[in-house]
Amino acid sequence: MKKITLSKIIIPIILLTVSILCVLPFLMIVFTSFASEEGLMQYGYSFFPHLPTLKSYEYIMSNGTQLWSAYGLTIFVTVVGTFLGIIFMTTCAYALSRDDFKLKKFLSFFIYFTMLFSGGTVASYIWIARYLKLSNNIVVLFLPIMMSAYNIFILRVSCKSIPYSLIECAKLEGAGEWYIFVRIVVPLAKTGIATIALLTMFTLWNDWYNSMMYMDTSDKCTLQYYLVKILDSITFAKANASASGGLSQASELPDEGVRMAICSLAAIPMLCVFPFFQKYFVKGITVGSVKG
Amino acid sequence: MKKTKKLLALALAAVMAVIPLSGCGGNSDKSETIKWYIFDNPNNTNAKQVYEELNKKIYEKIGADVEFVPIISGNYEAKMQVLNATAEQMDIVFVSNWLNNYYSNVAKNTLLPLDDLLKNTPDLYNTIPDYFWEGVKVNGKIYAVPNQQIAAREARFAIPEQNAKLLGIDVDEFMSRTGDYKTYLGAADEYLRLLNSKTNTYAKLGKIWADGLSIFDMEEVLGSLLPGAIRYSDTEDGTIEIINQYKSDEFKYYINLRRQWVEEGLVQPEVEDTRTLPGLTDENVIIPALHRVNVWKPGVEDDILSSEKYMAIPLVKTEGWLTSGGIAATMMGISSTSKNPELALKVLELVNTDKEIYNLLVYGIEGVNYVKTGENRIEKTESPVYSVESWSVGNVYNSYLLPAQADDTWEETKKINDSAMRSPLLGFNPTMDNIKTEVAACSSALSEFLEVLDFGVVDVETAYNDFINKLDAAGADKIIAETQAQVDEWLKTK
Repeated sequence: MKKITLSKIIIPIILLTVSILCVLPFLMIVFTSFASEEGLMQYGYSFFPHLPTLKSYEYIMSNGTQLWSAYGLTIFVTVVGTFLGIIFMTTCAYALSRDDFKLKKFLSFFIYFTMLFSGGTVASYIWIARYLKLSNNIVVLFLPIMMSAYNIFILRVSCKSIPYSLIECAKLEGAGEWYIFVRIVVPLAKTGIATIALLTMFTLWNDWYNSMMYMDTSDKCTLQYYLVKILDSITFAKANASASGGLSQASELPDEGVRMAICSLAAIPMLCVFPFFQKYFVKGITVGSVKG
Repeated sequence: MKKTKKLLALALAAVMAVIPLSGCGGNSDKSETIKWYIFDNPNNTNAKQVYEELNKKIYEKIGADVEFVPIISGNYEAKMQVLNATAEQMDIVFVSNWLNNYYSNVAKNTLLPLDDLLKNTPDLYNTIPDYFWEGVKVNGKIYAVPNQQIAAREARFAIPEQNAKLLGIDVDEFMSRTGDYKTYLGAADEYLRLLNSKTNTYAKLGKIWADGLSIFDMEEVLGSLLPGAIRYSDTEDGTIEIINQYKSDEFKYYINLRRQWVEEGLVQPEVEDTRTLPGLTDENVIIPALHRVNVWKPGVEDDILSSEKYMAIPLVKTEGWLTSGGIAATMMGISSTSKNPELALKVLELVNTDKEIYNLLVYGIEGVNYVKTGENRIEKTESPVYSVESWSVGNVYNSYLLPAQADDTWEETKKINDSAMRSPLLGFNPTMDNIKTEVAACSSALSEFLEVLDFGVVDVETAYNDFINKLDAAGADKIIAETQAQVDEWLKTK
């Protein structure tokens, strides 16, 4: 029989508690989305909604044209952005990991520099809107955020962990650089790539700032921005209805249940994606921690 | 190494080739396109259609091609800061004393002075009363067109309607009480005690001090997050003395009373009362609530209904004052980057004087977004949804009435504005250029203490002393002195 130590009992309990504490708020959101407005008014939030109903979801199904188009746009942006981001970041990281690449030091510093200093909002805005003229262009939703210096460095460590002798061997066997990259480097750096893909996907899925800054038409907005818009408008209307002295819009905005339903719908795709990446995740994140 | 240099040169060359190309896009021709940065409502489903319709009608009338850029109000400020910093070409923007700050916009030269331009739009100038124009002047110049709406500031206490009957309160008697702040707070005290004796629970009560100084017969000069106020009763002899409202007897009296309410369990012991109140759905149950309304106006009951979920009636009546702050709450400015300010002002003139255009902008298309139920009345259709806050675009007196609004809503509003007492500071607008450090330091001290004191959730003795020490250290006296100097200067030019 295995020895059962105290730590074997306590640690799982602590971890379980923490996990439950993380999951509960989200469950509350999901359950609230099934609660009726009257139930909410009378009994408040609860894990077992009084007078459960599907009304919120019915409302979204029938009135949510904007929500569905936002959904479509976000999926498109996330898929395309992650795909392009991974291609550019992996190729970049691989090049930087090769000691025989002459510009390695200079370019590494170039990328590293952006981690320390950034041009700030104003410079980015001028560059993207004025020079690149990307306002109201769908590209602006993923181009500025699909690559990150930090992720490139994680990937570089991943690529570096592949023994250089392996690449030399392949060269001797007559493999070209592209062949080596696609057939040897990518499969071996799979862990790192999967991790970065997940992180990039989260960034793209959750981004609303670019939507706010560069998309002037209200019919082309991402899912998160749609949520931000609704929540912001409600808190804003409440906080400032008196300051502005006017009639507020708050009463016309979707009620609690609908907001929670939209929130659940926005979170579910990422929740479904995560398990597929989970096995790579811990490995990928810690790949740089052990230096051989 | 050689290769590096070559590549660098190539990259530089590429960058330099791009910059001049896009840099000279400027065009000095008078543009007919007017870019209007308007509030967005995330629920709108056919905004595009409405904007197109508007565009067609405005073009027919004055030949302007208006491009509406919708931004939700919650992000308006952030986006405007970036657009101003990058000198983006804009024409019409919303400015106020609470969002996209008017005074700092004027200080940064991002708004055009309109005095001369207004001569070409006499209809616009004449449709707005002089006291509104007076209220928006900065250094004697007009930088924005005020949107007419409730501008008088009168704070009142209100209670749930059903409570009056259930508690046996003679509302008329309460309403007839006149006096100073002690009378008004006394009335609230009486109500809270009566409520508590019948319900055995504490009442939900928001802040009373911040933004509601008319109860105390005072007016904030620099907003609630900065020291600087006047006491109306002190200005009867024509002099204006700026005082630190946080050192006043009124403030001390109020925070002590509020703390007492909390300690006796009369009001909620937290800053935010998150309870779902009992009685909201049953009119035979007392609702434990007292509400401070900071801007009393016709139709305010509907606002309270939508936020607090009960029908409210006023408990006490205070004096209403017409202040610069009330007027500067909703205005339209013309950006200094505008290429055709004359035409932009013409657009504003049209929106402020043409009822059809204005209501199209506010409620959408007739027969699609709403149906007319009377001469001046409409009812919104279920879908498609379109609406924009009426005060964020123009003169609300021109807007059609919704089912919940009384027939004389706008006449009454107008009457309140016209008859309210004019603040002695009407037309005075402070500039804070010389006291930036003190302003920042005092704001942070006030954000730390004001809310907790206003809700009575900390021990008054110790917190108040800490608070005053911090305010003094932050340079509150300098702010008061500077404001006083500006007021004296302004009085001379008056």
